[in-house]
Amino acid sequence: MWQNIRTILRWEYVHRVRSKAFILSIILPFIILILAIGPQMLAMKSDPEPEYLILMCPDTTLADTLEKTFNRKYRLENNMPRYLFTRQSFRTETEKDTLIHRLIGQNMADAVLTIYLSESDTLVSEIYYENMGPEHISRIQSGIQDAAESYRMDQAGLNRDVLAFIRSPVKLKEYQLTDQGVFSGQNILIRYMTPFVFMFVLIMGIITTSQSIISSIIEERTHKIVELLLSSVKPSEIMAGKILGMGLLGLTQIFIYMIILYQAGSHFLPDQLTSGLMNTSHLIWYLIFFILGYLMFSTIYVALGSLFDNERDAQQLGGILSLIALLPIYFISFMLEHPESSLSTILSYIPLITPLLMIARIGISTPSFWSILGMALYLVVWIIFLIWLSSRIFRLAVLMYGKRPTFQEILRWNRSLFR
Amino acid sequence: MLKLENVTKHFEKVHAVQDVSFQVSRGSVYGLLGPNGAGKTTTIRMIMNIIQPDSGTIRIGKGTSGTVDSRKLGYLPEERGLYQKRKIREVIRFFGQLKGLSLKEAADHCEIWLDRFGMSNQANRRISELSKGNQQKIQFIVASVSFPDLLILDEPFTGLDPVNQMLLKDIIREFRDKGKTIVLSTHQMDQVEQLCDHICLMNKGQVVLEGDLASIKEEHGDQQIEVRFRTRPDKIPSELFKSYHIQGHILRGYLPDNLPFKEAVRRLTDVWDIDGIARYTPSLEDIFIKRVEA
Repeated sequence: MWQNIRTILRWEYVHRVRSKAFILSIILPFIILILAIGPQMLAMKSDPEPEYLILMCPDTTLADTLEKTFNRKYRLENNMPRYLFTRQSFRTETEKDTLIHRLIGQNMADAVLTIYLSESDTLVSEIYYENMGPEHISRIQSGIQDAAESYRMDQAGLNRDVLAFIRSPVKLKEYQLTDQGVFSGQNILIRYMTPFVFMFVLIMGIITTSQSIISSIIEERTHKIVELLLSSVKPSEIMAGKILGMGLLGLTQIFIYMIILYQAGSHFLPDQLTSGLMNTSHLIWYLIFFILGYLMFSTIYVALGSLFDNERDAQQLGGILSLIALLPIYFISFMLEHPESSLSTILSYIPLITPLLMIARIGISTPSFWSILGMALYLVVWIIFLIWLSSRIFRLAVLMYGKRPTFQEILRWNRSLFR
Repeated sequence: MLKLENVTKHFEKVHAVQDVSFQVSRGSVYGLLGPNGAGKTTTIRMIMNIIQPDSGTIRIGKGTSGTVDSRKLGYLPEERGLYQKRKIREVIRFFGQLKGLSLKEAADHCEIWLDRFGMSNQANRRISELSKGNQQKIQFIVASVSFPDLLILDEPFTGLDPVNQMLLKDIIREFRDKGKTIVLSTHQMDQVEQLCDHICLMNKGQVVLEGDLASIKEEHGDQQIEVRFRTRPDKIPSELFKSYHIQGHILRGYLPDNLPFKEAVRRLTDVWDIDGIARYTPSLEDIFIKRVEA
């Protein structure tokens, strides 16, 4: 039995891991990622140019405060001010409007900023521009607010240092007391982040490999190889070999992703954070539930894939099934708030959700060893059951060449399966 | 080598195979015949343990279907298919290993078979690059890679040119001469006549004719007669023939069951001017059509 499973596992794994499609599946997400964030990062790196603003402010004190605030608050990487001001006076509102249109129309500045005290003694500010990104507008808004506060404090005769003291933040230090010890500060963050990293990678892995799992399972039916295979091996051996082979392929892909992400993380994130991610006490459990979760979804895809015999139907199915992988996300927020509630425990028993919720529960509330082990065994039983079920469907599929079974036929099959 | 006893299989309300029994002895080629839907493929699938019979027993050698070492069984199904994107050598080795051969045995057997079919120089080509005939050869190699004791071939000559049909027939005879047992399911009656020692004719899920091919032909030829007239008679007495037809000066017909051949000859020569009388030996195709239509 094991020899046949091993032969099919190797057949599925070796051929696919050497294929161009697999290499592409490793490289492509990173190319897409680079294409998505690369230009933005390049733009951030190559932006030493300051923005030229023309300031129209009748109150010289207010104008001085504004410039000082902006110079202090916004600096480029080369320490030059991000915003350079030129002041422009005007006599009448009509002249102001004419000036604004001329200055913007002739590209003499990136924007014109006006600020003045209204009759009701409130500060009113306006900005005129032809092209200016929302991040600049947001910065300018924030800078004006700070400048206005400083100006009003001076006007009211308040000491700025006193206000800064009053407003100084209070630090809340966290201590999480668990069976594994006391966790504080960044360690708590790591404890929460690690399961999320595993959950995220698991969901991504399931979504990206679901199509190839289904394609693999219908390959025998598409190419009419089912009968030939069944004359040599048992359907359960075929299913087990395929699931393990495709599972190993998916896990290889995911582990390559994780190594690349870890390397990238250690380059861009603090050392303590990245090394902490890989050194949590629950790492073994995360890996176990990660692998079981992947196998669980693989068996579901295989069981459903057994019902189809052509690529087109399978592609439609693959798209729908990928949504199943996202199902647990709806329950995660509740789980985070109430990790040990009855509902969380009940939800843990839904096999589609079990792996992801268990990863979350272990990270958040640390259930007992026996409880975790029990859930792991529970998943193993489900996986074996689904392999058995899909092997039965696969065997019956030999009678259904070139035909998609109707719902009634599937029900009839079920009756004969359990007879 | 192979013995089926009262094997029955139903699908919903369809009686696919009903109470089928036959026996195939070691070192013989056995023809399993029948029109489409006769139950041949279902019978073969039950022999190969792909589906289980509702009742009855299937014995292969000393074991039963399902308990026999798969290495001893080879099967070329009617529904042909191979992994199109894989290389020939990989595919043959893979199925060899599934038959229980070690990696080395599978590799050795693969080379022997490719050499036998003159395809060694194509071993690294993909299956999809092969012609239909060559794919058929690979399909046969996959079925027989382990040199099985019982080889079941469902329409093995489909898609092969006459040269390769000859080659395949030679290989089947070699198998038989080495004491292997072959069950051949085909519609090509001339191939059955050339290869098979025994046949089983199935129709509507039941065995309608079974036994030694020569005896069957003898038995079905007994009451058939061919008469050559010197001058064509105006009238044929109806008591001499159950049925007949005349083409030119030749009459072919069936004698009544109670009229012995010698008596028929005497009465015919008494009445007419006859050039010759012969027992007509029917072809297997004649027997097939007659029994199926009956």
